[in-house]
Amino acid sequence: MLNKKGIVEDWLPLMLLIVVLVFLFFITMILKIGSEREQIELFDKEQDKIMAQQLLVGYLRSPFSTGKNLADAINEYYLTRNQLLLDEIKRKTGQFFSGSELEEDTLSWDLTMNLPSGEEIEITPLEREITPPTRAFKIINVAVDTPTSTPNKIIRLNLWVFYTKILA
Amino acid sequence: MKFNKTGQVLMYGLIFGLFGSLITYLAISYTSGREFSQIGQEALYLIKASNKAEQALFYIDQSAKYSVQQTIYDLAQKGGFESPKCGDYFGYSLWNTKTKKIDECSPDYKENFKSAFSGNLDEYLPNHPEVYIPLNNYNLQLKNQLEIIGYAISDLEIPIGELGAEIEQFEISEKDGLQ
Repeated sequence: MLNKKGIVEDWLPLMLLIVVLVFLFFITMILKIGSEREQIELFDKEQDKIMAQQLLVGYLRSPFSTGKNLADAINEYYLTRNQLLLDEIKRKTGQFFSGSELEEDTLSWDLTMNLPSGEEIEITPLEREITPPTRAFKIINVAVDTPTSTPNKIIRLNLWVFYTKILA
Repeated sequence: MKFNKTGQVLMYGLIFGLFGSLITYLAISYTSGREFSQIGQEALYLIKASNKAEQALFYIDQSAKYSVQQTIYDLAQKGGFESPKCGDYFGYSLWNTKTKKIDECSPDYKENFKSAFSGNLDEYLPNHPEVYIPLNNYNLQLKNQLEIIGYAISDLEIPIGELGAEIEQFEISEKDGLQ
């Protein structure tokens, strides 16, 4: 019979190997769980993005005045640079989004239009910009293009959605 | 006391066997693991593609609206013609001449409108930055006074792409927080 020390010495390499294998197995599992979590987060963001895009198209199609939608009004602003028209667009924008899924305590949004001339114009109504101090932890950006009266010129609307935490 | 020779061979065999199986497991999980999609992934791809189609349709609708305005303007400039039947006089389309009566020269508004409209719409369609919209793709029908219906000849082709390419995620520090 082997003595106790002898038994430990004989089985030591195998035991070490088992420890290493168990360790590797755990590492692999942790890595897998991490990548799955990343995928789920990505999916969540994609779903939010789809929602934001649908909202933006709905916004552009929404009526502005008789026979005219908001995309037409934006095109008209691009042609005329009428400040009163821009104010009215901002008012309608606030009205539209305040009744949408984006009007929540933990969400904030910002809408800009990029004109073909390269200018970026804010269409977020002023009252939206005054919010309590918040910290954004996730930001989603979606863009929709709308044509202008000039065929090769496009206005791009950028909607930014901020998922926020209110700071105490 | 030590293992005898058979015992040693079995021991090393076991070690190599375990290592081999571990390497095989790792190789399989990293190479073929991605072949199976996450639950809901394909559905998300499809919704994303349909969203893109919706955007393209919106672009087409708006383009059609502006093309109608442009077409009416263009036809009004040319006396209702795309190209005059009986010639022109210093750029003015003629509706009758010495030899031809008005019913022979007058424009066919509907046909001229359709033809000019298609041309104007086709100037818009290639400018969509993401979706390829085929040109000369609509059979037009004019109804009542101002109703224009375009039946697409071929479908829009929307690629079903990868997820996450355009997502931005970053933290805004407390100092720069949204005020």
